[in-house]
Amino acid sequence: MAAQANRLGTVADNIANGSTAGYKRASAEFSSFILESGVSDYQSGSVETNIRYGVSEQGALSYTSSITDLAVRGDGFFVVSGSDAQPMLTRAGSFVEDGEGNLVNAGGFKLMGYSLVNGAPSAVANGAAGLEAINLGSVGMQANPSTEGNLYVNVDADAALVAAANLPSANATTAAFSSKTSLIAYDNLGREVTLDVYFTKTAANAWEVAAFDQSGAATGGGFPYSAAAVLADDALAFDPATGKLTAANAQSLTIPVPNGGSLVLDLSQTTQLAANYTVLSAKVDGNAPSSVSEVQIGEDGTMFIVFQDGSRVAGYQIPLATVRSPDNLDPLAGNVYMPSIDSGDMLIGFADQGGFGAIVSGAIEQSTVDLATELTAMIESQRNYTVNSKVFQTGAELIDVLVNLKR
Amino acid sequence: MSLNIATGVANSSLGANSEQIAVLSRNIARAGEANASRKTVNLITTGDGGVRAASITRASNQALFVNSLTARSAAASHQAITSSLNQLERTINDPELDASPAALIEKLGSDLQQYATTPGDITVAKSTVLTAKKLAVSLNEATSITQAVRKDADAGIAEAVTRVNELLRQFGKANETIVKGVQSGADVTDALDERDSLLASVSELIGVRPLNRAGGDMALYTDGGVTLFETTARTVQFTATSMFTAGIQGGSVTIDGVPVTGSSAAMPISSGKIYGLTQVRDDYAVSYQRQLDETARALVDIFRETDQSATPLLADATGLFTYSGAPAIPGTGTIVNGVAASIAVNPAVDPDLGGSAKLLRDSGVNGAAYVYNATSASGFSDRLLTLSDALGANRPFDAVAGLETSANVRGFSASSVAWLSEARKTASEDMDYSETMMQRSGEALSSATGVNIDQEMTRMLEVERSYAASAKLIAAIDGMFETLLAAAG
Repeated sequence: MAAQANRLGTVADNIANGSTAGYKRASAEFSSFILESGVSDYQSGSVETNIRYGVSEQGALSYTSSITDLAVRGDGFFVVSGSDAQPMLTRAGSFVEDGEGNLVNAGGFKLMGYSLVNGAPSAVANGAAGLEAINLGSVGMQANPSTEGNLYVNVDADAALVAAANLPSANATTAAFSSKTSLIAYDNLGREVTLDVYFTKTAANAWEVAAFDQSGAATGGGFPYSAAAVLADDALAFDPATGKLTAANAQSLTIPVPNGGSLVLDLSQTTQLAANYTVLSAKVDGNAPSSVSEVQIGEDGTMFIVFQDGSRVAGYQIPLATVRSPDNLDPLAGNVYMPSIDSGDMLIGFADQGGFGAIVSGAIEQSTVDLATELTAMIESQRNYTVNSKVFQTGAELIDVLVNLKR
Repeated sequence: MSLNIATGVANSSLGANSEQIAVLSRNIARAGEANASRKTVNLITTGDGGVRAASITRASNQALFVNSLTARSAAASHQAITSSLNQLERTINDPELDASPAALIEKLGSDLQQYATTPGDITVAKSTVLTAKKLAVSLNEATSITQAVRKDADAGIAEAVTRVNELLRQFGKANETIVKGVQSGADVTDALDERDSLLASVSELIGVRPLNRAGGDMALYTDGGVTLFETTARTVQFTATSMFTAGIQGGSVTIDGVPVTGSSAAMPISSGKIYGLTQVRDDYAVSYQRQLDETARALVDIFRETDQSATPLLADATGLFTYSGAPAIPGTGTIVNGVAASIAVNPAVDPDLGGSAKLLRDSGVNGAAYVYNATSASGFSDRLLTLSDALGANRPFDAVAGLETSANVRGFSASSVAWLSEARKTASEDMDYSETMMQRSGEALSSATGVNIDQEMTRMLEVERSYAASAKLIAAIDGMFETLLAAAG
């Protein structure tokens, strides 16, 4: 009867947590407890209760509108820490940003991850070393200098020639050019630097590309630029048969951005065809310092920080952890689990790699409790309990008969 | 599948259906809007068999859109040219001007012939001088109208440049919203519509070529290849000229430091309102002004007086017609700017100003040495016949006026009228053509990406049915739970 009471206890817990995100169904398993008995006599034993948790069971995902609601599809647990900074595992991923910028779930546990600000994380496969609480406040206001980009244009093969003395690279007042475009790049502090890029025809199939800092241009724009604004120039030779850059020619222009890094501007797909000057592709990386607009989490657990200006950088990598026997994890209050002796040690890895599942952003793993199953279990327990009580009643009646014999 | 999961699936279907109906209502609400595109919800199946709205996309067709932009730019430039040329045409047939310079030159010719037949008749002399005065005034008026058209065009360019800068700023905002939204997976379809509509407005002012970049970003270049927008808006600059007279050049528009209009333009634009207005200011109106100046210069030249002494010592001087450079005669066959603005009848000949109309017959405005009719004979008609012949004689004209370089002044003036009418007619035809093109390309774009109410209504019925079925499913699951609970109790 006590065993059935235990079972009813798990049913009650399950039903109560029917809507708890990341809750794993508990079940009571029984094993018989048999005493030594001879051939002619029966030593009545009893039943032993084992409470099992279906931790490895996948719950259904319900989609939400919050990006920081996370669910694991497949194996693996989020690593979280409570107030005592002890790393624990959970599947309950309804994280929200708290007042300090930490991502905290409904149980009050902080989500842990590796910071990517200083490069790729050095994950320790069997421990929580290097993990820190993910803090959205700490990545605010970040500027990235421009380091690479591309500029593919078509320069007009029929453009007029410009004399050597008047080339933009000579930076004279009389400088002339065939075409010009400008690009926004960012310096070390995230200041916008407008780069003027001139394409000038010097001879048949020969062009010059020159880059200047627009802030150093003469009044009203154009030449001559101040000495500091002259950044880079190079010759371009085009193949007269195909109109493409010759293989021998440099395929990129390295521009030293003022107060910034070296911007390698890829020109490889620039062509010289008999068509008007057309920009085919123009792109420069980097971003201005702007505060965090929102975060975005990829399937592999990379947390991107999206800035106000639309650019994004990888800020954190959210790891997943598992143990050899997830069903033997020690459940604690708040839907978290501790690795126990039975479960084996914590193994840490990344989502979508080596047997780990994928992290789904904007979803919550629902409780694995099924009400219909629990109700059925409840009815079964009730019947068992009733039958047991009948055995008890019969036993009591037998003792009554025995007592009456003596009288 | 358990009952709980079944409830979850039915629930997700309800959510997806409400999302669809929301998008449908957005479509229907904006059905009448020109730049609205049709939006559709993309549904995907979730891991547990449910459904969810993954994203909202809009119907778009880049090729048709770029076509419509090009057509818009072309139509805007032709509209600007046509309306300005209509203004210029007032110089030919404006009732307030009495008549065009060409008609008055004809009248002056016939008046001179009549005066030559009756050289003693002072009434005819007065009426001839009056015609000459009207001619001078009509040239003055035509000049001021022409310069007013140039000034209006210049002011129009300044206004368009201000508007372009404002539109580019708004474009930057819409673009930023889109870039951010694409990164975070938000619904950016309305921002895309807004950006397209801003782009359409920019294209009316400047011919523009959009360049799509990664992540929904867009860069803009003018049809000449100058950067208009790339991450940030480039500055479009223009300084308006406050006063126009013949020979004064207007400022040029610079974008990103590169001049795009005027003779010094390295990468000129070739369509849009700014281009059209520049054409008027720097081309049509300038040519017409030169034709007026050449006509006026020829008139001053024809009526010049020559020293009649036995041994001529004095230089030729202006006669009936005078101008700001009088009494020197303007050079032959070379344009002199501003003659049409200052041409007037010499006060000595004008009876209204105390002059004597007879001086037309006798000459001598510049003194006794220039008197042709030394005896003051009332029958002297040689000078009048010479003048009348000179009006019909071929003389050199400057090629910059854009007309024939050798013609008589009547023919030249008539050619000028024909030139203006022809330019106006061509511009008007171009405008009709480009407006039709714009309309057609707009229709093509609209039928490819616009909202079709019939289609939306059909979709609405489908969504309604699906919603009803999902709700029914939830009711059925509820019934099953009821049964189970009854058994447990």
